Amino acid sequence: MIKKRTLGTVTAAAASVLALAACSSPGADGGDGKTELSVLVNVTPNLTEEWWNELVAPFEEANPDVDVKIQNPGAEGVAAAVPRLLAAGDAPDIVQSLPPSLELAPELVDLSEYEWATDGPLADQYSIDGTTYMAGIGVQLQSLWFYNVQAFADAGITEPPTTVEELDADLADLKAAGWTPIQTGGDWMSSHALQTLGLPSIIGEHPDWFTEMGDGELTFSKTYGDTVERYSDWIAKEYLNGDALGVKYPDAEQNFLAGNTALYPMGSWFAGTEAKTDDAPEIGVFRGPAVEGVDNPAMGANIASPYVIMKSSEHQDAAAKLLEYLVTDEDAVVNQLQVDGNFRDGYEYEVNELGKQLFDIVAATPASDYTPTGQGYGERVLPVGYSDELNVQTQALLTGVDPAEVLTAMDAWFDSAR
Amino acid sequence: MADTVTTAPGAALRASSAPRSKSSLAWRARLPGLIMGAPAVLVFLAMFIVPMILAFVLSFTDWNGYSLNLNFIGFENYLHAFTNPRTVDAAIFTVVLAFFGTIFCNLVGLALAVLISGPGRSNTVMRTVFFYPYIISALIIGFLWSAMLAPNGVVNSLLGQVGVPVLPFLTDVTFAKASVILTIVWSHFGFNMVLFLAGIKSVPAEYYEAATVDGATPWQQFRNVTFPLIAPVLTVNLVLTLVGLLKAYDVVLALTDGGPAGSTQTIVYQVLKSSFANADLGFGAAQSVILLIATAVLGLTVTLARRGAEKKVTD
Repeated sequence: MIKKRTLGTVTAAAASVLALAACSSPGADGGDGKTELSVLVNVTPNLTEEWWNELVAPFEEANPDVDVKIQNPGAEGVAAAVPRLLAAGDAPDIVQSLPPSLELAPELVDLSEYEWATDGPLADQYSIDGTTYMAGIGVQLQSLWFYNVQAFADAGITEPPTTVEELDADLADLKAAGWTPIQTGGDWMSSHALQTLGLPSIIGEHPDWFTEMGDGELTFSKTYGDTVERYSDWIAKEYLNGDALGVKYPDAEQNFLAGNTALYPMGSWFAGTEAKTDDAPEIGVFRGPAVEGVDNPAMGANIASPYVIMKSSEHQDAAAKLLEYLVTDEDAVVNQLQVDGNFRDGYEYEVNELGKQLFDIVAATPASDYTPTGQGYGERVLPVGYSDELNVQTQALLTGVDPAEVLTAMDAWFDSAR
Repeated sequence: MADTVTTAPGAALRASSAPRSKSSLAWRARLPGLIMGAPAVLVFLAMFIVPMILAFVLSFTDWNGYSLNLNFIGFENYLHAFTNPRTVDAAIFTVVLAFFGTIFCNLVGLALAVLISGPGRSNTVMRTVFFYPYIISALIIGFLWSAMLAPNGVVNSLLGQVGVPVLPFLTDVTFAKASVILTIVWSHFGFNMVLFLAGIKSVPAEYYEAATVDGATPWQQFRNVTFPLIAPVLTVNLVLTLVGLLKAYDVVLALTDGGPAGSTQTIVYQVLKSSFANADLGFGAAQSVILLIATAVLGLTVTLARRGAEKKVTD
């Protein structure tokens, strides 16, 4: 028989649990009357919790009525944590590193009224139905080829290529000079090289490629066909490291930094690693070229450190104030750009020669040239799962599958996913 | 005003009091058991039944995981699952993995159990050594073998010393599939071995004594005494291994991350990819429901087939 005392204990325990749950809900007013803002952030070896707390400390000093709580999603990661927190009614006020998407947009606060959001980097590209949901601190350039200066000298190459045809010829010279021309790897890196080769031409020729592919007006084989054929040709000619599929990202990076390969298609964040490497060979960088006849090669670029405010936040004004600080305060912006090797026109920080070359590329690239990569963003998005499928099919090329089969498979995938 | 019905008090009492008191006594007898069992039933309902029902309901929606606004889309997710080449490939590899993995795990587990079932310190040490991989985290095992099977890993280095060229354990489609299956077998056979050992230990010693007196060889003893008597253990081993391998995920994630070219993606790998990376929880739920049904059907089929075999043995 259950005694009254037992029932009382159970009731008390349930009440305690409820009380604890209430105390832990985000966006609550702290016990000392402060507004508590929870910010879910991406924590990495560079962006530690301590670094984040230091980043927001000046804002807290200037706004003593606001207490910023940094939330670490742990191994789960921000993208996986947000749906779970939303379902649990426990969403943070601000989320970092999760750009707006068609699915996420209804849960986000419209930031179109704030100039610091609408005038920010890639604001137009990331807008959805003309609405700005995100504010970012800079750009990550994607369509870049880093090159070993000594390798180019050995192959008699005096200037970086400006067309894909010139790049083709340079690869042959590098191979003839005894170099492994291109460093790539497994995981997500496989398709990164293919996109670096293809997107500058494809988007240059079809500026609405993302939309038209999504709608079925264009096919993958018609637009990506030449790129896939060329990449397959490069594999056959052994321009890529033969063990590519077994090479992890850090190993690929280290192999290039050890001077074992001549070219490394990678995002601008590589400059941060290069700057920290002692005894790195002299490295240069050039923008991904397009095929002859395409005058405005596109530049793959993603927003660096995008911030959004969740609609469920009870402190949207305070959250907007914090966002304004994070994306406009010079020290805060430079701090965020520098720590992850990102760039923004007008916000310079001390860099080495490679960093200066990247700043030059940023300054010389009009915003209209920027294009999404992978799945896309804003209104320029492809069916869900495209990035994974492209990576799978690029790896198939690396295992020797015929390019025609790859193109057929990609067309079939689009038909199934649309 | 309510109607009133009057009956003879004695008749009503006679009609119901005897059986009621019996059932009431039975309820009283059952009550403590029900109360004590209730928490377990509640936990089971909350942790297993409710999520299963939720997954089933969500599989008919386009829920993206962000918004609570979801639309019912009928069987669209199921149709997509059966026509999506990636899901179909993952299903095929999962079945291949479960089939060969179950066979190898049980063959190796049974062979080792027979070999080291005897007394002696060395056998005790061997049992511990063989069981050890099973208690290591599957992720650790995946990362460990990923490093060892890499082109410049220790396995290729050792093979290179005896003149074997670098083998593409993780970079060739066929090699990678075999690597995943063998790594999972390596990490799992200790569990099968322990169950077989328990079964072998339960066979009465008199049967072996009688077989020895009759001049039976060790192989004949195994075939005619040991194997028939551990038939129920074999059934349990087969079903548990099959069900476990149909859910394979963590070793795949750490060892190959589904590659190369998506060749080692399993259904659970696809479920997680669809649900979280692609924000398509409705589709992920449909894939989960298909896996659940397939697991139940295969598990039941094996159980029924084995029950027939066991019956033949006991007859």
